[in-house]
Amino acid sequence: MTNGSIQTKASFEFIHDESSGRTRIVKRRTGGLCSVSKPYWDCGVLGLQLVNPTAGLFSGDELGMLVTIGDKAQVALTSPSATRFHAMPKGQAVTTQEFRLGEQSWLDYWPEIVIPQKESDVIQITRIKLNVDAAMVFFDSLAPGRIAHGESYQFRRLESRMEIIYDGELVAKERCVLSPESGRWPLLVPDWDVCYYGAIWIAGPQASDVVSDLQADDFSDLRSHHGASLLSEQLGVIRIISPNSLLLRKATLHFREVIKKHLPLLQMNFRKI
Amino acid sequence: MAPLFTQPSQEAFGPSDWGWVARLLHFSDSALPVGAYAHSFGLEGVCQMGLVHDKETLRTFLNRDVSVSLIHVDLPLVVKSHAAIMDGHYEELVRLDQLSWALRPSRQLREALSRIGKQQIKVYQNTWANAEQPIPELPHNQSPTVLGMFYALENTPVMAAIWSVVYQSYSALLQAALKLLPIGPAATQDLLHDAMTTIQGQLQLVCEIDTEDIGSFNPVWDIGASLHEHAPARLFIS
Repeated sequence: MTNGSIQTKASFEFIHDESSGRTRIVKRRTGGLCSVSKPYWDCGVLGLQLVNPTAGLFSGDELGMLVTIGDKAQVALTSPSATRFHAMPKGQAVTTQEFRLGEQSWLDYWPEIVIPQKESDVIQITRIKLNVDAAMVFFDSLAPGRIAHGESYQFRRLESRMEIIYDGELVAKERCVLSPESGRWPLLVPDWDVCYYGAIWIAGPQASDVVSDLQADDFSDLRSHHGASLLSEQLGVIRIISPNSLLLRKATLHFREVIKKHLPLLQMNFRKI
Repeated sequence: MAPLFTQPSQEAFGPSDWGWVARLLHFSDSALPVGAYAHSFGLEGVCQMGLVHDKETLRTFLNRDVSVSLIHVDLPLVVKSHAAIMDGHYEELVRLDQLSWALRPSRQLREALSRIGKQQIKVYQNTWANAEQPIPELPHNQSPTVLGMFYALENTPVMAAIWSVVYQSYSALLQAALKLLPIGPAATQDLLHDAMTTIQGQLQLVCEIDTEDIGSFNPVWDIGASLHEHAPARLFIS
């Protein structure tokens, strides 16, 4: 722990209220690193913005977040702005997030991009547990640094771990360690100065149909690359790399529209300017 | 004048002590009928993206991308599976096989390693397997866990098992490269030697990686392998 650092354990629990037929938040524990906007319903889904009052993580910060979505509950989460890992010449920050989805529940998780700034050192751990027939669209994206400030790949270390467990079975695991010692992005695309990365994970009974459509989609942006794969019967992923943030955004929003055809709950208006 | 080479004592080891070498050679042979020749393990995909297109870009792919994947994924899985058998922890072997499958970033890569692993078990059952020694059942028969298991059952030292998988991995990719790129057999031997020399210094690290730390990240390779699944034309299954 570093002097002045903040440790926060946030947790949110959502349930499906049978009497009203709506999703309600029944537990909300926030703290120094995590606050939330006022929730609102849109097309039957309860929307919430996760706000980081410090606008990012500093050395020694530890943010733990547990999101529990009860059976049949429908939730959409986003963040109002990019998540920044601030400069930390010494020490490290850790962020751990766990999502538990009950039977026939729905999660639309679409936060803004993660920007690891100069000298930052962060471990980011994500664990997602889905029960039978739960469905989810989970987006995560990463910038190479604060490009507008001339910073690219100047973070000290970024480690990201992700596990997806469906009905008790480990169906996907990723571990990404990026540091100057291990070079820039693996197999950097020729002629690109930097590389932005995004991945959209699609879980649930519709995963197969969604991936088929993503693979058949004729979206062509000559400067980005993307590929979709059905990893198991209930889980698919599309990965995108782009040479700048605007192209990544354009591609991911396009694919969100494609996915929406099979998952109409992906209608949430996140009310961002 | 001192002799340049010292011959080991012939009495030190009998032929039976070296029996594992026969198994190692047999299972390292690229002619082993496990179907590896039908796979490029994503190489065809990255070639179709235009990112690997000649000898030098292939060298970079092997020495950087493939070696990182071997060091952080496949080889630790072999080591841990070998240890699980040696320690009699069959449940751990099952967990490692599930992990190996979950770590693969595309359907084709998952299926490729399961198909090859299944064939490796079949060959083993028909050759070296002891009828009285049951072979643990695995959920996905992923090749790294199957080979770790097989080499442990046959008393093969773990570093020999590691080298066998290193050789098989590079060799399979170079066999595929012969069909995908304008390079000849002499160039592949140069690249094979270079890759094995480059990775040698990192092999000790493989034995020190915790199971929780197994994994690597290569979005370009992942995208190439995913694109290959629905490519309009292709030579290889993966």
